[in-house]
Amino acid sequence: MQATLTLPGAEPIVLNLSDAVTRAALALPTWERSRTAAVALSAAFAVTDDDEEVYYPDTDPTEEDLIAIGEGIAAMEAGDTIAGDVFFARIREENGWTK
Amino acid sequence: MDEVENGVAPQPLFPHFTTPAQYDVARALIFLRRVAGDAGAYAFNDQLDATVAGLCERTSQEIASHGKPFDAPNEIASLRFARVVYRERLETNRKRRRGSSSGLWYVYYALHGQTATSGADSLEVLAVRHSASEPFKISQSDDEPDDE
Repeated sequence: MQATLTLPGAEPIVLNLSDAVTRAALALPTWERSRTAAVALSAAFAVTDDDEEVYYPDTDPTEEDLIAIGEGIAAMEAGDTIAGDVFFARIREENGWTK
Repeated sequence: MDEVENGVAPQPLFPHFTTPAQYDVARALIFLRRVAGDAGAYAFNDQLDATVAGLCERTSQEIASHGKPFDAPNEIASLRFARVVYRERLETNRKRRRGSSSGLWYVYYALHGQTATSGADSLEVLAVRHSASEPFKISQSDDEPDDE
């Protein structure tokens, strides 16, 4: 059996489907057939959306993170710190950046 | 907003960076300049500045209204060092880009100092770490040749 897929602004594509696939597709409700086809085509064309907004899941601190935190705590307790505004002003000056 | 529900004015929290955290930021800027150019490093620096300033303002208001910050401490770090350590997310890249790495960084911080009301007058940045930071792994093979 043949089915056609029409993408906007393009010629229809003829899809050759086996009888078994056609029967299986016709057994589904229209909305499910549409969803399944979209999933299959997306997988086939390996589509990724470059502008998709992503959420990066949290990860536990690694051993190196913990070592760094420990060094930070030791520095804090020793008073080895500078004020945030001084720190950022220095970075901007060193890099020729203006706020 | 200087007044809060219970009428206690927020005690300002001043941000400080420990020396190890300053090195973390310097390394991050070098890394970002290589992968995202000067604009990427500039944006990270501005975002870190805004994140820490926002943290100070928000936390001071939370302490004034509820006696403590709303954020839960990071349990792993707090248990390791037997003191309260917090962690704030800093996302530099909310859009997926081909070949780009995760844009999630963590700002680890603690509240420090003594004031009559809140008990803290500074927010100390302890470390600024990328979420993908991994320890170096040294793999040793069993069939490594002997020195002999």
